[in-house]
Amino acid sequence: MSVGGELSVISTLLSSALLLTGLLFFIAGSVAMLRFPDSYSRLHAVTKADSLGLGSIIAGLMFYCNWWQNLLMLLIWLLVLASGTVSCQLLARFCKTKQDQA
Amino acid sequence: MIFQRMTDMAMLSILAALVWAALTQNQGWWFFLPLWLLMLIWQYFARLTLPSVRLQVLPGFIWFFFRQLVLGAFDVGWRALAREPQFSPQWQSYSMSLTKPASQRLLASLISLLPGTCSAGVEQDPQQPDQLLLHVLDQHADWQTGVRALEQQLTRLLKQETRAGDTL
Repeated sequence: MSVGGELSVISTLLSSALLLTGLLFFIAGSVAMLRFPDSYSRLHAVTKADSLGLGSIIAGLMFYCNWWQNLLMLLIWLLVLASGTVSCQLLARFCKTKQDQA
Repeated sequence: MIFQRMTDMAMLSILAALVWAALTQNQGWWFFLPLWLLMLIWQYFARLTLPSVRLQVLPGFIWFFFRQLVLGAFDVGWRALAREPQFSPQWQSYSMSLTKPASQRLLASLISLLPGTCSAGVEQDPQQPDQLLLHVLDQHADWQTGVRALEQQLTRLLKQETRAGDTL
């Protein structure tokens, strides 16, 4: 599991599984954007599926990076979680206000 | 009171500077400084404060939150990829027991990562408890249990929300 060296088989398998899981969540989130019935429901999709998808991809990439890079990736994920959930709330409020005014 | 506000502003400034330094590899401070000033002005007028948390409760809260995050993502993924997805979206109101505006904002933000719920804001009425306006994916599902559990977790976590004499 050393940085720049060869990963063990178990680490490679774990990393690949996490990267694939992340990819699946991103695909599910994108499909949801097309299939969900209204704007509010689509907000559920982008907030939840993409948040976990990014977390899973970061967890998979952690096998290839040093501790500082891992810390930075975790920080980025936390910032994405925070901005995602706040912007979801603001967008929902904006749409609801517009809808009520119409 | 003023000392507390100054301490909060200093803490948030240090935190923002550390995050900036880490993410930019200690570069671009000329861009950070105007943003920092705007942040201070916003923090002063919006009266933002850093909530005091019980550190012994924090690990349990993090575990609960990430478990709910995973469940929420699976819920959305399942509905997206199902052959005949179940939908019954509707707006719902939830009476909050949290009393402080900062705690209510935190609950409203975190709820959007829970399974099947997305918040749109807090409605205040002097005659009744503050209401959280929620959009739910399935009105027949039991979304109240998750929201109530998160609210209880926040009550335990935030010192400002627990009344004197309450047990954890």
